[in-house]
Amino acid sequence: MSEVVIRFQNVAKSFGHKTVLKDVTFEVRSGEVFGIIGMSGSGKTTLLNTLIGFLQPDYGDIRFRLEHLLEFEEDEETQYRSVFKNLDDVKRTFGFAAQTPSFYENLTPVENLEYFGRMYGLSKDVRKTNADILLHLMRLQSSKNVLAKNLSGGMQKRLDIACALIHDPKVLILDEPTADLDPLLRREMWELIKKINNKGTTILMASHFLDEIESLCDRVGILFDGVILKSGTPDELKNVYTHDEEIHIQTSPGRYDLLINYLKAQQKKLNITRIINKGHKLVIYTLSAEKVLHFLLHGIEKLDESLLDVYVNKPSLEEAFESLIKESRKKKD
Amino acid sequence: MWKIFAVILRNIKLLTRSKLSGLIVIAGPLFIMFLVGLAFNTSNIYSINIAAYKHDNSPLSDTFISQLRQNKFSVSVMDSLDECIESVRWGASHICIEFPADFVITNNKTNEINFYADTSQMNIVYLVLDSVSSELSSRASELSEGLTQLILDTVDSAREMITNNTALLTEQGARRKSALAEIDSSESELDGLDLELPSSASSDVDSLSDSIDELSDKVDELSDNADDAVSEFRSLMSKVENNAEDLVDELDDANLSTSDAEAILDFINDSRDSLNRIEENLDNANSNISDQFSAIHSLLSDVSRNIDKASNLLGKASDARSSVKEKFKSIREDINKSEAIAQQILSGYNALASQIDSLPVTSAHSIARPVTTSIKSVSSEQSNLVYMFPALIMLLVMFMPLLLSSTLVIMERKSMATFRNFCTPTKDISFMLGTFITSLLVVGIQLGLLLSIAVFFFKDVLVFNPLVLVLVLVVLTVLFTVLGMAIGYFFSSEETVTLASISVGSLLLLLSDFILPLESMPPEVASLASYNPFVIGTDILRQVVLFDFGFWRIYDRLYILLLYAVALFLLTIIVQKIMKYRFLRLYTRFNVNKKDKKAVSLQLEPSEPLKLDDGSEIKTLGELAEKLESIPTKKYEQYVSEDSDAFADWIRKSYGDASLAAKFARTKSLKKRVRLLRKAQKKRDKLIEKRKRSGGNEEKV
Repeated sequence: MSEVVIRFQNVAKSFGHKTVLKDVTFEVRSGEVFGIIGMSGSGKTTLLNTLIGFLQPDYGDIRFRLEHLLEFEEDEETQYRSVFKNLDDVKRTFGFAAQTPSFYENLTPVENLEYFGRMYGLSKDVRKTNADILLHLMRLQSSKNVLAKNLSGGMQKRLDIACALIHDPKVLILDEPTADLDPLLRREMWELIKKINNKGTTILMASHFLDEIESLCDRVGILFDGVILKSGTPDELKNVYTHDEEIHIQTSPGRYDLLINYLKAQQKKLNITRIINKGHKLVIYTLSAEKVLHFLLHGIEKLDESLLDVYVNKPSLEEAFESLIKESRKKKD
Repeated sequence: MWKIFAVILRNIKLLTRSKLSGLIVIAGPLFIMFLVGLAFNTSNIYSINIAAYKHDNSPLSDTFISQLRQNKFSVSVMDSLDECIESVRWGASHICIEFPADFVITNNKTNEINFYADTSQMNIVYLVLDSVSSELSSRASELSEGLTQLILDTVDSAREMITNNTALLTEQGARRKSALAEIDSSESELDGLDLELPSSASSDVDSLSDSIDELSDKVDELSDNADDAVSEFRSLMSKVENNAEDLVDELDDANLSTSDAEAILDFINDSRDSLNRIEENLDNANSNISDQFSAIHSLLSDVSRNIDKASNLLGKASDARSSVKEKFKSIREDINKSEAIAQQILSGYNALASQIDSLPVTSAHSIARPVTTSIKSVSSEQSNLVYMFPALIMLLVMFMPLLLSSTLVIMERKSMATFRNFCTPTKDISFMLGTFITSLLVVGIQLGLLLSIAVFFFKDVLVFNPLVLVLVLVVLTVLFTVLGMAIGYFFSSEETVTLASISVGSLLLLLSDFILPLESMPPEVASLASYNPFVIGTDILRQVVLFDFGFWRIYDRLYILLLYAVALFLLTIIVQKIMKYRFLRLYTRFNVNKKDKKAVSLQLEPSEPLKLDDGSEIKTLGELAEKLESIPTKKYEQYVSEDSDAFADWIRKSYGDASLAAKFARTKSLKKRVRLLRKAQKKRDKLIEKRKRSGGNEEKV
C-alpha cells in the first residue's frame, strides 16, 4: 500500500452561518487518482481550496507529506506537515487546475508556461524542458504561439492543466476537469488524466460526473452534507451498496413489453430485482447475470426479436451514490 | 425603444452593483464639485506674501510697507535685493518689491518701484501684481492727493487772502475814488482859478519882458558902454593923469614951447573929445535909458496892473492852493492809507509767494504720478509654454502613473490567471513590485521621450540639472504609482478604478494652483492644499526647470514626497491584504452577507450528549459551561490538549456548528470559553422559545 500523501482530519469550514464542510476526513495515497464526488454546491471546491491553502478551515487540519523530508525525519508523523504552516511547500508540491481555466488570455501557451515556470522559481532549462514535454503531452505544439484566448475550449483546458503541471508537482488537483466539455473532449481529457497519472503524479479530482469518477479514479470519496460519507474504490462502494449487475439489451423491433413479461415469469428464480424499460433498450438488474442472459437470449429467439446489442455492467457508482445519499438523509431525518 | 431602455437599465445596474462603485460614479463628481466650490467660492485673495527691499530707510518706503501690512499682506523686509528675489524663486514670497534709493517725492524726480515676480506662475502672478499694484497705487494716490491738497490749501489761502485783499482793494478803490474826487475837486477848483492874465498882459509882459530884455541888453550895453566909458575914462584919466603929470613936469620945466602947448592942447582936446564922447555916450545911454525906463515904467505900470490882477488871481490861487493843499492832504492821507493797504496786500502776496515757494512739489507730472512701477521677472522672459512646462510635466507625472498602475492592478486582479498566481509560491510583494516597476518603466519611457523633445526644442531656454530633474521625476512617479496601485487594490471593477483614479487626479488637480491660485482659496483649504503632492511637485519642478535649483534646495520637499510614497505603499499593502481576503471569499462563491435574509439552519439541540469519563452527560451548551466552571484543571486537561479538544469536537459534531466549534477551539481562556458557551446557549434558548410557538427542531435564523 502506497504512502498517504494527503490527510484530511476533521476539517470543517463555514462561511458565516453557512456550514459547508462539517467533518471531512479522508486520505489520499501516493500515485493514485482520488475522486471526490458530490452534488453541485456540496463543498467540493471548498474542500480543494482548503487543500491548497486558498481557504483556511475553521477546524481540523490538513497535512501533506514532503518526500524530501523523508530522509531527514524518522518519525512518520513528523513527515507530514500542516498545509497552512507550509504554504510555499504546498504550492511547490501541488498543482491546481480550477474549474475555470486560469492563465493569461493574451499570452500564448509557451508564454504562459514560461511565465508560470518563473513564478515557480524554475531555472531556464527546466522551464524549457517541462514546457516542451507538457506541450507535447497536451497536444498544444501546433498552437503554442497562438494567443490563449484564441484556443478552443478543450485546448484552453489542456493549457490550464499544463500550467498546473509546469513545476512537475507531486500532486495534481483537478476541480471539475471536464465541466463544459463535449463528450469527445471529455474522453480526451480522461485519457490525458490517465497519462499524467501514469507518469507517477498523484491526482485528486473533484467531479459530479459519476461516470468520470468511476472511469478514472482508483478511490472515491462521497461528499455529502459536509462530510465524506464513504470512501473506497468504486468497486468497493458498488459492492457495499449494491449487489446487482446490470444487463443492457437492445433488440429489434424492440417489443420490450413482451420481453418483460417473459422475464417476469421467472423473476424470482432468476433473482431479477428490477427491470427498466428505457424505450430503446432494456436494463435488467439481477444478482445472477449469467442465468438471466442465458434465459433472455432464449426468449429473444422465441419472441422473434433480433438481438442488436447486449452488455453486462456491474452496478454503477451512480447507484451507490444515490443509495448512500438516501441512507444519509434517512439518518438525518 | 424598450430595448434601449433595457440596455440603459442594465448599464446602471452594472455600474452601481457594488456600493463602492455606485458611490464613485454618483457621489464622486458631486464630492469633487463640493470641494471645488468650497475652495473657489471666493473672489478674494488670501495670504499673499511680499518680500520688500529698501535701499535706504526712507519714511516713504515705510509708509508703503505699512499700507500693505494694514491690508493684510504679509510683508517681510529683506536685507538685500538678491535675497528678496530669491524668496520669490523659492516660493516663500509671491512678489519682491524694490523701493528706490532716496525715495522722496520732489519735482522732476522719478520714483520707480520695481516688482519682481515669477511670471511662470501665470495664474497668480498678474493677480498678485494687480493686487499689490492697486495697494501701492492707492498709496501713491494718497500721496498725490496730499500734494494736490497742499496746492489746493495754498490756493485756498490765496483765495482767502484775495478775499481779504478784495476788501482792502475795495477800500482802496473807495479811497482812490475819494482821492480822485478830491483831485477832481481840486482840478475844478484849480480850473476855476482865473489865472488868465489880460490879453495885453501877456503881450505887456512879453513886451515888458522884451523891454526888460532890451533894457537888459541896453543896460548891458550901457554897462558895457559905462564900462567902456569908465575904462576910457580911466584911461583918459590915466592919460590925464599922465599928461597932467607930464604937464606938471613940463610945467615944471616951464619952458613951454608951442609944441608943448599944442600938445597940451591936443591933450586937452582929446580929453574933451573923450569927455564929449563920454558925454555923448552917457547921453545916449541916458536917453536910451530914459526911453527904456519910460517904456519900462509904462510896462511896469502895465505889469503892475497885471501884477495886481495876478495878485488877485494869486490870492484866489492861494486860496485854491490852500484848498487844494487841504485836499492834497486828504489825498495824501488816502494815498498813505492806500500805501498801507498796498503794503498789506503786498505782504499777503509775499506770504502767498512764500507758501507757494514752500510747496514741495509743483510739477504736475510728479503730483499726478508720484510713483511709477515696473515689473521684472525673476526668471528669464519666456513663452507661456515654457512657463507651463513644469505644470504640464506634473500633469503627466500624476495622471499617467495613477491611471496606468491602477489599471495594471485591476487587470491583474480581474485576470483569469489570478488564481494560478495564488497557487505559485510567489509572495504578493513580488506581484506588487512587478506592477510598480512596470508602471515606472512605462512612465519613465514616456517622460524620457517628452523631455528629449522638450530639450531639443527649448534647449536654449530650459537650463536645468538633468540629474536633479530625473530624481524629482522618479520620486513623483513613485508616489503616484503607489497611489494608483492603492486605488487599484481598493476598488473591484475596471470602470470604478478608472473613475476613482480620474477623480483622485482631478481632485488633486483642482485643489492646486493649476487652474486658480491657492491664494484665492479660503485659508483652511489653502493650508490643506499646500500638502497636496501635486502642488509640492509642481513647485519643485518649476524651481528645478526654470530656476535651476540644485538638490540641496529641494531635498526637504523631496523627502516629504518620499514619506508620502512610503506611507502610501504601506497603505497599499494593507489594502491589498484586506481586498485579497475579500477576493478569496468572493472567489469561493460563498459570499454570505451578514444581512443575508436567506434562512440558514442552526441546530438548537445536540444530536447526542457529551459523555464524560465520570459517567455524567452534558446535554446542552449551558451545561457544558457550568461543567467547565467547576471542572478541576487536571480533568480539564484530559479533554483539552494541544492536539485535541473533545469539547470543540462535540460542539461541531452534535450541533453541526463548525463556526462555534472553531471559535471555541481558538479561545484558550476558560472564562472566555464559559462566556462563549453561555452566549451561544442564550441565543438557542431564545430560538427554542420561538420554536415552541412555531414548532420544529431546526430554527431558521
